Amino acid sequence: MKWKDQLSDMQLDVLKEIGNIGAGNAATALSNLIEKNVGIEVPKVHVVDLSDIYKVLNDPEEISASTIVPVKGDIPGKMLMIFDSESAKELISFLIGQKPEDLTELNEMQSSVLKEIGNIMCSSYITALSNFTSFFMEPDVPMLVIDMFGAVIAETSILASEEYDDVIMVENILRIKNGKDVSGFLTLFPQHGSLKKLFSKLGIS
Amino acid sequence: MKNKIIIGIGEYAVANNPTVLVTIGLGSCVGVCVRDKHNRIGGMIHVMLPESKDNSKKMSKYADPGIKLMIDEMIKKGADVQNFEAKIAGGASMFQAKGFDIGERNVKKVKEVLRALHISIVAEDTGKNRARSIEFHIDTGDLFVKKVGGKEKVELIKL
Repeated sequence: MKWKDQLSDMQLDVLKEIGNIGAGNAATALSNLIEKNVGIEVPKVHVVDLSDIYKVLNDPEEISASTIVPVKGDIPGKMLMIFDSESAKELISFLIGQKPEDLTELNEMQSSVLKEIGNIMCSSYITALSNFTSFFMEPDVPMLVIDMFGAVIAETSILASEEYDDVIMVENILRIKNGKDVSGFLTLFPQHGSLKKLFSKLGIS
Repeated sequence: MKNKIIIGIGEYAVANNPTVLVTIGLGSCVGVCVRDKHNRIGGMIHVMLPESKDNSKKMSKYADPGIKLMIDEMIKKGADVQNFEAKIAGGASMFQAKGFDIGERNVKKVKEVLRALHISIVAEDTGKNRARSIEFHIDTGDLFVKKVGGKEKVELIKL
């Protein structure tokens, strides 16, 4: 079964708009946290075959820091906030003043800061989506993984895809202006039942 | 120059010498590499889930029957079951939380399927919590495993 054959343009646009609202809120949360301007790019919606995931990513083997927040409630799914290695280190230094040398050997304080940034951003996205749709959504306990970018995306999509052979990824890029270039990749992986509910609530099923 | 084939999630490929089969970002998935060491015909499958009872889906996603499909194709190409040997890598649990034991289940099922087909596993690098990228050289049978190690370096292991 494939999403590609089932989604209309209208539905894809709605997913994009959801990305916009969610990422906007997440960017505001991050901006408050680090007291810097945070910009967002126009969201992209990818509907990709599981087997082609590594093709949509620039460098699937890049080391990155990812916070995964499972979403519970009416429309379950997974939320991912990914920073590349340099951006993750910059963020840590914004908040605790010290820049770690090695992402794979963070101390407890550093990894906790990183996890919390991801958690706050994912949770604001979820809250915005919940307000917009009036569905009950609740973020679950976050996890931090430092590993290859491609593997994290693949792993999350496998968990979300269930019986589907492709996966929907709402991709948002955030950039911190004013200073060093920090960028992150924020994305929501809705589970298949969730999307059907979402579309029917918004009257576009 | 060796021909390189990149295998996506839930796919497999069978090739003659000299070819390098590659798969990127194995998390809980398992890369199963099988080679006929005399005829130099090799195959690699990126197993996503243990098994499927429903025949309508993409079968190469599953250890059972995906591995069998790959073996059949190798035999069609002229490989001899007598010469088969397997190397496997993957099955990590990247997210350390309850209910994420797909990696372990995948590895167990892969071993079961290979045993049933009388193919011996000569090398493996499975489990733990790091993602892997693998390269399988059909001419030598070497399997190179890349992992993110300490000091942000990429660890390269030869199996």
